[in-house]
Amino acid sequence: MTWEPTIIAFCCNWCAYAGADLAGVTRLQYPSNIKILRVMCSGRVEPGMVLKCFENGADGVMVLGCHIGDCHYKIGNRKAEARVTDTKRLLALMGISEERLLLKWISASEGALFAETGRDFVERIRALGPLKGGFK
Amino acid sequence: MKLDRESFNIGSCIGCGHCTFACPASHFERNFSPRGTAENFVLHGMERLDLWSCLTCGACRTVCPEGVEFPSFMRAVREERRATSIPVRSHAGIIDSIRSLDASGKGIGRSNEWVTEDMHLEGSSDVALFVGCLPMLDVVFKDLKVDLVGILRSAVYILNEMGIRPRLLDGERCCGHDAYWLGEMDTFDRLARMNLDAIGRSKVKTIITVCPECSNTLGQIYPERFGDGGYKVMHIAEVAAKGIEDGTLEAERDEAVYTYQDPCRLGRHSGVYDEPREIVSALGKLKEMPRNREMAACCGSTCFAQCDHIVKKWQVARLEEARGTGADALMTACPKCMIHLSCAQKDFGTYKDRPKIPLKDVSVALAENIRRRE
Ligand code: FES
Repeated sequence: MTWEPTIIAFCCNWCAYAGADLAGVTRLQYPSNIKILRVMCSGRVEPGMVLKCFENGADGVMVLGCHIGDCHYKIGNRKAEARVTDTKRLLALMGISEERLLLKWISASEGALFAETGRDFVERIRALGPLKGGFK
Repeated sequence: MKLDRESFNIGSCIGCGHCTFACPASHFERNFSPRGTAENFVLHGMERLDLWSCLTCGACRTVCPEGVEFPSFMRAVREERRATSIPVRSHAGIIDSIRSLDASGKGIGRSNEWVTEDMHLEGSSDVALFVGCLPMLDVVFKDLKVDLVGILRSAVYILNEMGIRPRLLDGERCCGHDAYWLGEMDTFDRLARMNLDAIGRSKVKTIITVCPECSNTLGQIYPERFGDGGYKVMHIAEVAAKGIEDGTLEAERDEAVYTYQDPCRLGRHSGVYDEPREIVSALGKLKEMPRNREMAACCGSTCFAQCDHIVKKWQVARLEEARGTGADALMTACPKCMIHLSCAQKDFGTYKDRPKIPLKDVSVALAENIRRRE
């Protein structure tokens, strides 16, 4: 069986999740590798959650939220930005490519952008290959 | 393993209560005491025991006249009840996640971005520096502003000054200390195997650590569980104290007065009391806190499992004790003590400035002292 990347997408309830919904309603194609997890705000996504995803078999993680200034909770996505920066540093320190974590803002009306982001990210992870250990 | 009255001598408890008096947790936590826990276990079994208040700091074991191994007992109960009792996840689980991601074997090995140009490392050396989780914790606790990688850098500097060029272990993982004491034995075993592999591959004879948790785990718990690995483990304070003794490290004494916090993993668990004190006395005047050496009070948290208002209270008490000595700074040899005590200073709440005292790691202070004269 050929390997298929497993992608977890944390989508904030108010924008990115609605964007994903729109992509579905307008029948845009995006890869089925993406498993969507709805959170109330991208600021809810903690470094620990991202690391847990990698531990349990994800090859890539996306954190998708509202555009800066549009967050339903005002500054949640600012927090998400800081957290993702830290998480990337942690991943790099642990020998996992930071390319495997993506932060992007997608509004509720950007269904096409959601599909496109998903497609691009899956291709990126496909190129990186499965997340494996160097020293077993 | 089946736990009964025979395990860890728990059944030989005579109820004297020395442990409860020595235990820092039971001074502040009304519902927990080592004696009460032992009694409860003997009478009613392990179902209703409080698993998470104990710090496994070992003060109770030191005073016990009957040789009850209370910390190990606590660890075993945690292992046994792991499936039914909710494990603690402080700091939103990041510490656990780092550990278990490490244990999953993923990633191509640590990136050593803390290493700077002026450090002399040698790939073929038979002395290894065990880095541990400090670079990661430095990111996690960045708002506390304890320079954790600074401790690593100082350690390398001290070793270089002594003419030792250490190597770093390829494929090093978390030592598994927290997993062991929280009873996550599958995680611990996986981590230990990977580290032992890495040690075996590199054929090092001596491992130097900057964290007492690492030195205790590598030096005592691995051999206990997996047999002798043919290597020796030393904490950087032991190495540096040797250097001071034989004159390879020359520190200049100044007027400052320091007090010293014994880390439980270095002191009670590994029996290293004098070496860090030698370093401190080489730097300035050492003034002991009332509770010192075997009876030193824990910094408040092990495995990041206990962190609440109760712990904060005794951290404040400990910091006040340190301030009461009139010392200019509180020295310690453990990065975790640094983290927990600076956290207590940061969130002192209604305590105003009572617990404020500068904190210093012995190896950082020593390295600074030597560097100053270059
Ligand atoms: S609600 Fe969408 S990012 Fe905060």
